[in-house]
Amino acid sequence: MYEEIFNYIKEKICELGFEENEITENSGIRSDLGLDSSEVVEVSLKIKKDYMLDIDLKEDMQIKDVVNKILEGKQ
Amino acid sequence: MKNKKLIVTGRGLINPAGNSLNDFWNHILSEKICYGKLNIKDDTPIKVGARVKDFNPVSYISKRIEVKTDTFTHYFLASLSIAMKEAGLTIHNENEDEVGIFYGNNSGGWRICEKGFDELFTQSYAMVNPWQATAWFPTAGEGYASIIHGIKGYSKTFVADRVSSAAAVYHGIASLQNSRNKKILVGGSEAPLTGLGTICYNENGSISNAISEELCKPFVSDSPGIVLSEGGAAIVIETSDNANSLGIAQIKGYATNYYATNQVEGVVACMNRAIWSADLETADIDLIIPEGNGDWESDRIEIEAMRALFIHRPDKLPIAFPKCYFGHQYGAAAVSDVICACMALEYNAIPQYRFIDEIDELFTDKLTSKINNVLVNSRTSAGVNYSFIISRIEN
Repeated sequence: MYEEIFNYIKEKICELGFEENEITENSGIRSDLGLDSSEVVEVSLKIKKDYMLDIDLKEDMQIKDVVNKILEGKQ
Repeated sequence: MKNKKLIVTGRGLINPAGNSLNDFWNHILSEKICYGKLNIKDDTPIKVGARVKDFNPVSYISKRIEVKTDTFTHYFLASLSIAMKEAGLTIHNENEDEVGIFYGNNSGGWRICEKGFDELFTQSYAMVNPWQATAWFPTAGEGYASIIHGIKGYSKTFVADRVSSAAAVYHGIASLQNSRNKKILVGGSEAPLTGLGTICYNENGSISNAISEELCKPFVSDSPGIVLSEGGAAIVIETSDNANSLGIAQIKGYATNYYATNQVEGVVACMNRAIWSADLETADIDLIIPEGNGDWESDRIEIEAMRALFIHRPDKLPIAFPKCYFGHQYGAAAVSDVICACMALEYNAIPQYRFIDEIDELFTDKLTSKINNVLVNSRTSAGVNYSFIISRIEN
């Protein structure tokens, strides 16, 4: 399940114009990938639409934090 | 206003007739009609329009910018990148404050609006994309161009119907003459060929509702109307003492006015002033590219004005109607016509007009001498006029 959600997040970030090989589970959303606030909102909206979850994404999170938030929300 | 010599050093366009200068000009000279059925929805009133073809925005801008912006911004950013390349212009710390952007757009981003409405009405307000406000707005072209290229000079966006990019050229020139900028990037774009866009444009009453590719016939009374089009156009203008190159053409004269009631008088006065500001006389004009858009209500005023101004010419006045091949691009239209003027000067050629025998006998589509000075008009149905004199660069 973790892997599936990680790939989902990766895919959504790639749709915003980021390279797949830049994205690891330890990548910081802001510090490493450089998503701006509007891009963070867009990822949140995708999660809300596809997982019916309101995740409070913070720019200082890492990708693995986002995956874990979704996993927690699904339980 | 000081009279500095203004040089066009770069040109770029994304146009239904081609996305490179050569493709565009060859297409125009071969008189190929670049419009066809839009196939938007069976019950929408505008059935025919001119779409840009084979355009991939990420060939010109990053995917990150593409996602956040509407099609009209893609067209401008791509045109600008082509124009800057031809001008050899890059922005750096030393010139970032000396270069301004002057941009025209009439109606903002229809594609992003349709997406936003769909998100709002089929999902919820909380699901509306985060770029709705910034991507829709007509200034997005100027804004993203300044972000991408790091431009910090005095800049403006003009939302002014069919003269949007003519206003951009005129006021951009003023910023050069007033020394607020040393170089300017001028252009415009439009992308109205969506369901909502065509419905709204149809309300102005001058757009063709032809059901097939019926030809737009500028200056002919039974023309079906304006063929709605899309695309972008950009030029780089520099004062001659700041130009990196000898340049392509010179903007020698320019004028604007607003005559709401006697529109013929307004067009005459505007053309006359532009010719006067170039230190020329009517006999010096070798070619005219009029607004001539296929809307008879607009065209008949312009014909009458041109007849009044040029009636005493001993020979026929060469005329070209690029719009009859690729439609009216609104925000991009005037700069596309300025680029056509530059191309006509460069190649000493103009497209033939298949309805030349149906228009006033004062005009011809055959060149009688070398083109040195081109008069370009842009005007709205409300009586706002712009005229420019695009000339061969003097040694």
